[in-house]
Amino acid sequence: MIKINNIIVLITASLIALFLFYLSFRGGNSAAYLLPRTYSVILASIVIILIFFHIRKKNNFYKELNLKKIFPTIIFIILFILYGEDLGFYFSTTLIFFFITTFYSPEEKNIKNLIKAGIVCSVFMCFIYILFSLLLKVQVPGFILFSLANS
Amino acid sequence: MEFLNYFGEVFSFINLITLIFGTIGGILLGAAPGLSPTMAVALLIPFTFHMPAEQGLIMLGAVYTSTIAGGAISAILLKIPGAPANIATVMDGYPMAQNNQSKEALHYCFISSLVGGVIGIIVLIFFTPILAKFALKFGPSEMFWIAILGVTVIATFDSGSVTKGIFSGAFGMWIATIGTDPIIGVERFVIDPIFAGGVNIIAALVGLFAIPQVFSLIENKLNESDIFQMEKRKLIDSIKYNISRVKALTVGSVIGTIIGLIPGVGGQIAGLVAYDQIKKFTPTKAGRFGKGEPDGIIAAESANNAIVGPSLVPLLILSVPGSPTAAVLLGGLLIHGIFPGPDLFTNHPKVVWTFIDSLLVGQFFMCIFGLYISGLAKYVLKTPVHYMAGIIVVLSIFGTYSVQNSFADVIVMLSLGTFMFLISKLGFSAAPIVLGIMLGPIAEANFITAKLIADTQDGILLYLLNGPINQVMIGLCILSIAYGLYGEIAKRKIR
Repeated sequence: MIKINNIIVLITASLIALFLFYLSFRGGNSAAYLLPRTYSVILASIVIILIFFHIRKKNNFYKELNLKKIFPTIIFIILFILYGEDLGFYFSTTLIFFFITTFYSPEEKNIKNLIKAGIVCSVFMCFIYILFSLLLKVQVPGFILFSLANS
Repeated sequence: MEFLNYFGEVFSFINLITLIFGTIGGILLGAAPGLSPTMAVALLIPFTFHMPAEQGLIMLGAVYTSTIAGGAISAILLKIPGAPANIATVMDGYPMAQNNQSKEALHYCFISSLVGGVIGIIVLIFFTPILAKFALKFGPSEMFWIAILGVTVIATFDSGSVTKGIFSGAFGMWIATIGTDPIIGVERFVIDPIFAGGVNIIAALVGLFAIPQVFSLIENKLNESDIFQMEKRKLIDSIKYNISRVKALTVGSVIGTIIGLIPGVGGQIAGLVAYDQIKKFTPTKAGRFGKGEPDGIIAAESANNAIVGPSLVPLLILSVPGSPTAAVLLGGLLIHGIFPGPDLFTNHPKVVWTFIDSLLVGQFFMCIFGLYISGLAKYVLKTPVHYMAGIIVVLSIFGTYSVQNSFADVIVMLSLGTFMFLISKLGFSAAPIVLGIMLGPIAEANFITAKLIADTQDGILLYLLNGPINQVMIGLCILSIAYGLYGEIAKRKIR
């Protein structure tokens, strides 16, 4: 559990503002970059206001982030971004769906519950296949599974 | 009475099926805890991309209307508002369910939603053309300020902190500058050729609203309590009682309509204000509120549905959404090539009037299907949250990809969504970012046109600041920021 306070908010907002400020003023045609530069100056100004509020103790922000719980899903999202297109959408999203439904299930992780999750997952993915590949004719990356439908 | 000319379009077979499907789907989505109307509309936008404009908008409008009403089901039966707009419904809805009056409470919810919703749509029908005539006086400088005002009001009202709201809005507008410059043709911040056309609105919409919801669902599992058994209650008795509560219906509908017309104020405000006002208007019942008083549900539900129509008035004419869901609906209009503005009713009369007429008809469908579905709601309410999270992820990925068969859009959607969840923990909200992304190009195009005109006159600064409409817009921007800051300071003092 990560405890988020005002300092973390300030650091993150400053990093975002600095990054966008750097990108906007890095060069290029000044007329084309007029608005991005204006927006990045506004962002930087707001960061200064946030710092001012923090110094004057006008902010008392506090929240918690359960990184341990969401971390596996973030890893799965990164893996999907890296390999999702190569593995095919049906295969990779089935893995994500099955992972979320089993890993975050409050029920005991035994064979019976895994089979139940597998059945729900298969039925839902069949619905997705009918909706996207058959009805909407969307050609998603197929890999081995359903590659015939996309050819 | 132009709206009557297109009334028949709503009853064409395909439009009627779309309306019914959207209404039933919306009620079910609304009833599912954790799925807000804004997210439901965002998730559906990719699907409507493949439909003709009228059909797509009918679907989105039906879902917008019915998710708010459907959200009352979980508010009454589970004490979990299905949407932020149903927060006030919990106060008397859940106690009524505890008193074995859950069916009666659900009846009041859908009947009051119908009354409030119809009044709101009538305001939309009659106010919009009047405002459109006025908006024809708007030039590039006025349109530029309108775009800025749209971001400002959402940033001010839909965020816990004004400074963070404006930061989010400016961040969204910066994101909107990615891609080719509209006048000079210079590529800005294009790391991959796929971004030459800018960040896809749908990818951003789905990512910013749906993915953070997935993380929230898996991070804080909702506590599912036992579902109450439905008592036997005749619908006709509920209708008679509901109609006899004229004061509660009037207070709710009038407050919802007025609040809906104010850009940026959501349904939750309307519901809470109406609830508070009906308490003040009926001092004899004061002690019964919070313990299962039907007037509390009637006022709150008529108010939160009455905002639907009026919230679209500034959206259709000025591109300034009246609520966060209306902001997402703006994305739905844009992907169908419909740009809101003063000439909207001249350029696309069929699409717009059919959409508005469908909203009116949809209110009746929402009531009929809502009353029927509410009896079966326990099955939807029992959907485990981890299944819900998985379903949202898969639908988001396929939906985003289907728009332009681009894996880059999926990457943008997932990255923006994960980023949004993390910064939402820092107090930043999605609605101003989304609105910044959508109104950014409108602001830029009008700014450039204004600059070209101003270069032949007294310069851009004077051009943007001169004229009564510009000054009113600037005044409203300052006023909304000042009001937001005042509210923020007042909240701190209460703490």
